[in-house]
Amino acid sequence: MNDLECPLQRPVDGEMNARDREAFLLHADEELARWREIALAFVEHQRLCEDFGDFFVTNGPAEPAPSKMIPLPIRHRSPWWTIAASLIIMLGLGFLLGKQEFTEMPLAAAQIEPSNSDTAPLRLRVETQANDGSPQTLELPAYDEEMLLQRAPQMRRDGWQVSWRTDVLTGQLGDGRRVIVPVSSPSAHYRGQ
Amino acid sequence: MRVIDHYVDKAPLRDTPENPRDWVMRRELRQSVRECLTHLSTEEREILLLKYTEELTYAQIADLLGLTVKAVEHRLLKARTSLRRQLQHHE
Repeated sequence: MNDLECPLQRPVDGEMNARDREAFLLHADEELARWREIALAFVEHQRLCEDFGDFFVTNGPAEPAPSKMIPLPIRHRSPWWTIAASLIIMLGLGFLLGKQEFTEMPLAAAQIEPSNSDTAPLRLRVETQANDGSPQTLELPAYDEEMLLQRAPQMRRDGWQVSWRTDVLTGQLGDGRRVIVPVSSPSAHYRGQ
Repeated sequence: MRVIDHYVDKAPLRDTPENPRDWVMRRELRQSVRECLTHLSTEEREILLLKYTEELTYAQIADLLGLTVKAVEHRLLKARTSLRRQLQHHE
């Protein structure tokens, strides 16, 4: 083993700080042959990087292995009906608070009924409780995310603050690759006219 | 699992558009390097792959293999020397 090769290889491998590198190069100036060794070491390094760079990882490209899959630690996009339900509960609360007084627990249950057409809003049936304790059922329109997007301008004019938040979530696949998933979540808050 | 287990000896060679003569020479050289690699010890192949394929620093390799930085430096030196010797015999 050539003991002189270690300090020679360090700057080539990028393992020498600026001060040591400067000292190393100054020392190299003392012997002209040293420069040749340095140049050759750099050429060798470059060649090896190129020749080794073609190796690939056998388990690299996406080959699903369901039995070994690790669940992604990411939040899944909410189904449209949960978004619609959240929105309609907020709408219902705003509506009810404007009309009458409620007890501490106004909402007991909510049920979504499918709409008859693509354009008509879904109907959300909300089981609630009036101030006197008697049960009350309200039927309110529910909007999915796409409809919310279309109706956002009108809703804003009606005093709603409609916004979309995009979270960029990261996770790791079973084969070790990292994934980045943008997740968009709409929200609507009544701010008044 | 050892790092070397992730790699295959017969990986397809990447083709790049260049002068046909250079292309053939480069291809042969790469093939030579690969064949020579198979004659090295597992430790030597492993550290060369970590250095030149994964492009890890001495410290990263040391962490991965549970060695000191100095040991990595010497093992790399030994592996490079072995590879050079193999390439000389190959030619």
